[in-house]
Amino acid sequence: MSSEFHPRNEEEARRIEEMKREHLLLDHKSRAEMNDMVMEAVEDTSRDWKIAVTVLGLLTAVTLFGAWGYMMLKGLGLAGIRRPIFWGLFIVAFVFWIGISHAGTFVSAILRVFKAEFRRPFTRAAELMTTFGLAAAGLYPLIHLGRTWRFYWMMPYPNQRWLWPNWRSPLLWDFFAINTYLIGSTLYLYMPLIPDLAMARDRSTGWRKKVYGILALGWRGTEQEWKNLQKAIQIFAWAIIPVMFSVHTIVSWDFAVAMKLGWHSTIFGPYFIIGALLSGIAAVNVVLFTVRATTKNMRYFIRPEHFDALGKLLLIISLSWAYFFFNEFILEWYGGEHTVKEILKFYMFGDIAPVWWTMVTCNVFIPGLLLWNRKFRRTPWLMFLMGIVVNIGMFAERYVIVTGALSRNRFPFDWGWYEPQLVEISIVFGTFMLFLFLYTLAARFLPLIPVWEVEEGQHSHTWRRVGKAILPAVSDLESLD
Amino acid sequence: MERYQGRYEPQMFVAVFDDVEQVPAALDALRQVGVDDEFIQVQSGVPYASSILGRPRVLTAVPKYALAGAFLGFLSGLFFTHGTAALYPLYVGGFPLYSVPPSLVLLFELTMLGLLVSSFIGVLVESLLPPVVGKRVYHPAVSDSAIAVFFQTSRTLAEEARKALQAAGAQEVTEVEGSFV
Amino acid sequence: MAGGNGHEHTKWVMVIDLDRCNGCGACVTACAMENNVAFVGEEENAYGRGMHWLRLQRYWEGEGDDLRVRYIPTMCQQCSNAPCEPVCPVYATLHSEAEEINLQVYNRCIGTRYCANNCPYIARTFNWFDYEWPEPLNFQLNPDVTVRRRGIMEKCTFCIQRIRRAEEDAKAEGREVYDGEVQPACAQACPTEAIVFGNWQDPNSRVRQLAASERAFKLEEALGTEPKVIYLAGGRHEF
Repeated sequence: MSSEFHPRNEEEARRIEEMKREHLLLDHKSRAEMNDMVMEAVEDTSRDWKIAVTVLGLLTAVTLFGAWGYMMLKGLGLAGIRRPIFWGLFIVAFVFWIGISHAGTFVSAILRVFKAEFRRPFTRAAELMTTFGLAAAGLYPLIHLGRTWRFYWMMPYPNQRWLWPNWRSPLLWDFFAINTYLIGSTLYLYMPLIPDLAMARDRSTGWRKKVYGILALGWRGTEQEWKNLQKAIQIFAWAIIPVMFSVHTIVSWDFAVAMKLGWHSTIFGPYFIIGALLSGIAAVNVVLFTVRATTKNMRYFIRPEHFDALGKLLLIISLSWAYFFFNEFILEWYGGEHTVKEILKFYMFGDIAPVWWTMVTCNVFIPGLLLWNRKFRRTPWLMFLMGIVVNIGMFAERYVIVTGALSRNRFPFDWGWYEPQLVEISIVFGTFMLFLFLYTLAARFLPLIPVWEVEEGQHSHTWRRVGKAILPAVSDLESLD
Repeated sequence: MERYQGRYEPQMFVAVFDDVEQVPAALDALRQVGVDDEFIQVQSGVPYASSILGRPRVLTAVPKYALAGAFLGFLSGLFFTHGTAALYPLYVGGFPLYSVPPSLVLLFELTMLGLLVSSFIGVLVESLLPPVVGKRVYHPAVSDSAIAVFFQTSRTLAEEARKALQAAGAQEVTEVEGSFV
Repeated sequence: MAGGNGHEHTKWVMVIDLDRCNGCGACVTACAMENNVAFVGEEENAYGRGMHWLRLQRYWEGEGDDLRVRYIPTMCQQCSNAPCEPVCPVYATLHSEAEEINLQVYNRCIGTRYCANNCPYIARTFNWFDYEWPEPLNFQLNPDVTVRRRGIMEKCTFCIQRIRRAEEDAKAEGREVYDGEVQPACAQACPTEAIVFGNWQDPNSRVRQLAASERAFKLEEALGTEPKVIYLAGGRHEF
């Protein structure tokens, strides 16, 4: 920008250089240069990348689709589910992936609504997590069906028998909510992507140019186009937040509306949402570290300041999770009926205790003890590990809730113990491979950084003097009409 | 397009600027030469508010699409809940046939789906669908954050405009084919 | 309210006298024979994959010389406010308006197993595999009852095939169904006549009289499911 800020002396120049190293949005580069960096990353389909894609693809084909096909052929008895634990690892993984998918919307919608500038470089990476997380999650309502080939009976369509699905069923609410969220967040990923696709179109040749050209929908950047797009993005940002809340609330109602003790708790709605945010933000750390490590030029865009901000969020959400968790725990422990207390005893001291204690340690103790430290938060590989630890804890939480509560009921004669089998573990592993496979493909096809948003942010940031101090100042350019 | 016989033959030109700070003055100069705002289109790689550029306010119809879509979504929600209950009554769990609390879930989800999808359709229809005939003007430097000012004027005024724009800092002023929309 | 097949609205109720039940298991066997319930094998059964529609809950009480056992034959309670019904996404489990029985529609079930999770009586079972009846076991299959394939939920139906048979016979002869004419397999097989079945709408039925006993209770009545199985508490056992 031509409105340059001129340091008065060497001291000021040094401080400005320091702040430029720290903050992406103060470290102006020309758009052409940033575009170069992003497109270089996209076109970097090296041999390593090709090997990674092939391996991930093969693993997905075998461990996910192969195992699933085999299970469909033989029957759900290959899994470890049984009476009375009729839902097992598949539902655990389903809730887990839905939780992961909340990260993207949190980053690109909630942070956008709150005008948190630090979100700018990684909204797209997070939104891709949402889309692919929902792709993985959406498989599970099919996988866990006894007769998967009849799944379409859950869809409302006019048929010869005049039958409609049962709209009172939480599983049908799941179907509609997840579809709404998937369509909504894919569109929300797509719309800010259009200007960057146009940039990719302008810089590519051959088949890439054609494909980008079609996907960019002829974007030019006229005032009318920008106005329409910005208005739509604004509507989406506000509207997709209630959708996001509703999706995980509805998934929690799969459990909470049931008469099952240990499930039938009014706190499940907000508890699951906080859990989703926890696992989602943790997963964003994992993804950002991986992106920085495997994609060119990303170290310019994603800096320790972003891990620092995410780390603070993670700490707040971990403590919130602890609040909701203890809320549920204390009222079951204090005034719960006999069977509920049996369930709690089972959780803390029974055969499932290692999983329960893993959950509490990974979700509360480890983040709570370590994330206060600023140096820890600013170290990307430590935040990567923290992200993995928290996600292990959240997977354990869903495991305890789904299979633990089902193991205990009002008739002690019918208590049971769930042992996950190879086919379930393979399929759950396979969905992780699917996620990585899709993400790896996307990282070399789509520009991972929303360059126009970063540039917008850089335009808003400038310097000002207050006395002898130099500070970054942010102008609220979005408030202009 | 030829409005009159004679010398008035509007052509399309583009002036490319590197810095947005140059653009308001350039647009003023263009207006002084005699080119009105409705014959000017500004393309940029980042959104600039009309108050920054000194352009007339841009109105968007996308919220109208959003509301219409939300309404349609709500109606479809009503159909899938109470409508299907009326078409094929099935009693379950001691619930009444038209139970309200479970229906609220689908009503909400389908309303939101209608809102979101129709906002996107609004963007498509209002600005992105290509014209049936003809080409739209575009300058690729825009994606590198140049600001392209397209304007339509007669050849006689074009020379004056070129001088004024170059004085205001345009990198290039060239003649192009195509239309705004 | 008239139901399907033109018969009057009935409300089938079962009374189980826990004092008479000695845990012999004849009811379980008879139910399996009547309803084509699959055999899963010892190993699968031990892991909780047993397909029994009717189970004998067994609880030991006391110690040493004072050791006692009590049995509670438990099957689908055919609740009026069945928690299993609203959660099925495809309407595979419904409430019959004519017989007030909870229906399981095998052809419609896609196997989400939500109904099983929501049943407070753990009364439902699931076909984990395609079970077989190797020759000559297949000769004992009941032609009145469907054989279920894998992926489908099933549960006690109060032997609805016998109810229908009795109602059709009665209609053909132009009379009402006698009290005691309909006997589900479990009631028929019980050697101590601990299980009694009948129509609550008939004021003179035996079930009506037995249910008036001081010993009568329902399982988990406080849940509000309104089950149709009434238990009569046993002599030496508290419940």
